[in-house]
Amino acid sequence: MDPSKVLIVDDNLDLAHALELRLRANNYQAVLAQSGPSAVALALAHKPIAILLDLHLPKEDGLAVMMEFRSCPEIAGVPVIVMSADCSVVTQHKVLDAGAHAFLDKPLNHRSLLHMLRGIEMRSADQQRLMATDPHRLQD
Amino acid sequence: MSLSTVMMNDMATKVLVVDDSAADRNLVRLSLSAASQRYNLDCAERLSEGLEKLEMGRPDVVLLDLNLPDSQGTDTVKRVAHKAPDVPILVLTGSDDDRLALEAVRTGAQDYIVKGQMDSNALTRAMHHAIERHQVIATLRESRQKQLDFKDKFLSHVSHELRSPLACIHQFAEVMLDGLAGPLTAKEREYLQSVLRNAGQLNNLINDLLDAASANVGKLTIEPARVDTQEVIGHLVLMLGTKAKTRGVSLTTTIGAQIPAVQADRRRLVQIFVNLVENALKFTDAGGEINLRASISEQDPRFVQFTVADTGKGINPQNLDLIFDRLYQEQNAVSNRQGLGLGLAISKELVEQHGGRIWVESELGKGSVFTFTVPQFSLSAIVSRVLVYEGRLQEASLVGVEMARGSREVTDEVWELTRRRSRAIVERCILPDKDLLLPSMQALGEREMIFILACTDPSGASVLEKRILGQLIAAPQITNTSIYRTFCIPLPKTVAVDRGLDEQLKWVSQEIEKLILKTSGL
Repeated sequence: MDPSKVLIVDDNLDLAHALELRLRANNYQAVLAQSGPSAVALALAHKPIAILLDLHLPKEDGLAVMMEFRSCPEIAGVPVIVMSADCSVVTQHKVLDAGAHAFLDKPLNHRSLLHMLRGIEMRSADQQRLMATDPHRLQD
Repeated sequence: MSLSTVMMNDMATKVLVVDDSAADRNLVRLSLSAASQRYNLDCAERLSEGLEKLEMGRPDVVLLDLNLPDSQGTDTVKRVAHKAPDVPILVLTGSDDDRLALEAVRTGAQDYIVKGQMDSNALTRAMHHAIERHQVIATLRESRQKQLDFKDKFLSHVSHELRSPLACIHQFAEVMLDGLAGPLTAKEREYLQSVLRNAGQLNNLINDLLDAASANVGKLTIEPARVDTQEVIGHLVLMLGTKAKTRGVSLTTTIGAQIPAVQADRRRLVQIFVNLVENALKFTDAGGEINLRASISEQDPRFVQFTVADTGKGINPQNLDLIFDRLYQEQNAVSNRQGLGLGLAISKELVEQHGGRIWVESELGKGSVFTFTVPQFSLSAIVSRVLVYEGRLQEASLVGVEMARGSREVTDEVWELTRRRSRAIVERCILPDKDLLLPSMQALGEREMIFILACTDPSGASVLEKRILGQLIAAPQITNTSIYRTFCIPLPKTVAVDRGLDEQLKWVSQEIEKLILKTSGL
């Protein structure tokens, strides 16, 4: 089976690369994007299981990028994990209120991240199983 | 409206006179009609009428008599300033009460003018000065706010800029240590660990810098709860023991058996201790000792007193007053790692935020003793605010909210956030002057209990209970990770009337504590 894909949106290429190494070692395939528009295009093309989004992108606000994901029906349901070095409670609330799946501080705790990704995978596997066995579920 | 438009153009200056004396209103009208500039005059006889007119439209200035049929003295100024904070006030006063007039200026009026001495020139000059003064103050306030906002933005920016490269160093060192770039030799592993350790230290320094900067704008915040004194000191010894050992210094503790819990922000309490111990380590040679001590304060038994005593070099007596100052550095450190000189200043700020104080005693060559105090945890002190009204105990109920991790896949970070957010929602549901969120008694791991002491009968409590549950379930983002349950317990009312209030209060808080412990299953 092909490895699940994870989209990383971060303008810091070094950091994205370190994250990619970490993900690859745990059998995920990372796709890198450095800006909002390219992130949307890549998400549409690759259908990742999750999106890791840096809150501080050079030209746009991470929250605005998240809204763009939400407004595309094909990828609106993909969980967005927001990463930021600004770990104030206010920022965390703002991010979660805007619909993020979770918030992770930088420097990233990779164990938390991998744990989260496993959870997301398990849930989507459950959903697919449900849909396969119970066609009425689809109409809900 | 800016000053220049008022002064320069041909538009009439809008003036509202609030004065119950027809003669005084006429005097103003006459004075203004004699002036060269145009004025648009509106009058009110009572304060209520004046406030209504302020609601309809903003005049450029209000001329205000202090003694009106429906309002007297400086209260009149306060009510106008509250209604229209952006309109300057010029007080009209009789010749005999300039003391009151000065007080009015302190309360928020821009200036005053004595009615008996009022002529066209004096009145227009005073009015324009009032408008100008008001404008200047508003501009100053605005620019101060801008500066603060800028500082906030700047800090957030710097924090991000400094942390990003650091995060990178951290990640790659970890990637290599975990063998993701191939197997490592023992030397490589050791060097990488050194990189990681120092990156961690740099991260702490950045945190210090941000803390100090927040303290500067009064933004260093604490969230006090009940903290077990024994447990927190045990945690500190585990945390700092190894570091002390590698320096050849022994870390010991002296804790009384009956040491009570404290009312503190646990994370901040640990931060204060870490600052003090790391400071002590800097000045203590190998073979020395650092002792952590907790006891009830002798000066004020409502406080617990913590000391960090070292057998180090001691502090020069003339510098004792300076060491809590920001950026102060003592010269004769044992280690060459100096830090930023912010640790003690931050500690002082944090201790004071807790309502305690911090001081130092030291003798050159013998060592230093840092002491700080933190209030004891006392449920009766906390609940008395809500329970006691007019010197009587009120009827009360305990409303509890239980939350639990909905699924195993919820990470610690998400769980922590869920707890915080749920608490915030519960806090919004209560009336701060009537109800009270009780501090958490102990962390329950996978569960969290929030208790509210509500000044209400059982039926009122069940309304509150339903409201909270409804809000929690309707809140986006948190319900999928947690399960909620609420319950309410009427408090026993069998308090003997012949006991004094203090006694009764103590008894009720003991009952509450028992109930909480029982309900939490502790």
